[in-house]
Amino acid sequence: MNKKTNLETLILAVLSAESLHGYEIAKAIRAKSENLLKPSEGQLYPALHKLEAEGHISAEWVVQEGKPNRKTYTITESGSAKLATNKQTWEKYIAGVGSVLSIKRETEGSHA
Amino acid sequence: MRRRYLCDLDHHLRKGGLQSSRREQLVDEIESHLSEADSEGEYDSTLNRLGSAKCLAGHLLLGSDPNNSLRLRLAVFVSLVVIPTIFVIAPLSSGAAATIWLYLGFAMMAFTTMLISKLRKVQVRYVLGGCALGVALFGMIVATVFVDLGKRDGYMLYTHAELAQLRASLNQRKQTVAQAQGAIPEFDAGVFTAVGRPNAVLMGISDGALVVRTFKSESDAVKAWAVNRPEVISALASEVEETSKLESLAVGGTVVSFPVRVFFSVVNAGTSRFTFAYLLLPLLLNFACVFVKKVWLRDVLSRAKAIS
Repeated sequence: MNKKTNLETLILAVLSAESLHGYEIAKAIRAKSENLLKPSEGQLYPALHKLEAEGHISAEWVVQEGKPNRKTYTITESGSAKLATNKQTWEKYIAGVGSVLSIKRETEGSHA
Repeated sequence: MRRRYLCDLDHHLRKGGLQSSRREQLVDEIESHLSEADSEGEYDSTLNRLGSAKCLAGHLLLGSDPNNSLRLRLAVFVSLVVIPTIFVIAPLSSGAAATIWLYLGFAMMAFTTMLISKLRKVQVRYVLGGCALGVALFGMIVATVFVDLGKRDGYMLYTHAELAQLRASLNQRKQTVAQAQGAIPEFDAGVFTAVGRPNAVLMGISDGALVVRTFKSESDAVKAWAVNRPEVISALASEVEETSKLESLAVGGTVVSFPVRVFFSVVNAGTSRFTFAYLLLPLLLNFACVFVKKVWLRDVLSRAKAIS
């Protein structure tokens, strides 16, 4: 998975819990990752629009009194399916990296 | 201040060629974003993260078109690989093939211009435009210095080594020249192979300086020879008697070292057909396109709006 796909997966993951607007999505990703992941707005909104165009999320403008209208995003069925696939791929990747990192020097004992 | 930021953002998005509906949507979303940040007391930090309106617009534009990355890669490949290759091959070919290569080069430049104009990030356009211009200039220099130099009509610049060769050749022809005063065909044979170049060469004296003229074909040289024969014969005959003077004589301007000749060749390119082919024509086409798009079309559209 590349950087772009990762951001899309993160957005889908955050939206799988509840419907949110752009600012809340960015904030949720930051909070859940304990400030490790800070998607910039320049990446976030194009990614949201791409997911919307692909039908993985739906959007609705909410009218607010005395404040600018905000666009709230909700995950769709196709988005949930994509999230599940991406999650699987990511877990496999983590497991693979974990296995490689856990390699120990097996020859140490035999040489001694 | 927020209004100003959003206006700037809208301006840069419009400059980037984004459709008005998409533009409005993006600006509204950023406005909502800033408003939410303001209500949570994070306005300043959010604005810092967003960067300048121009910077944010650049990111939004680049990410808003899924084909952008493909266009960018294609434009870079065509600008930096395909066009230079064509413009190096073109002058190396001859006749109709060279013309076809040149037209293919123009077509590729037009194609790249179209690709670049569709790119959503303005800065990228400037960078690629600069690269394309640099490539065109490079092609022109390569063509002029290394290929075109020996083929052009008119006066030529020679290095000291070439002049020495020329002088030796003149000495060898001394006897032929003497005979030539009475017999043209023998002299022609001597003159036309004097410096061993593929083109016909005619040497003569003009205002006390040795002048070497090249001609595209032998028949052109013969015609010129026929007109100037008496003067050239007498001047050349007297000149070969004093070959030591040649070092200080002008050969199509001056006797120069190789770097100086390269410099003059580049300057000469200003009058070359390659300048037109590589630099001026694409630039003129580009300006014409910009004029039609920005000035003429806008004028027509505004009149149409006024009428409706």
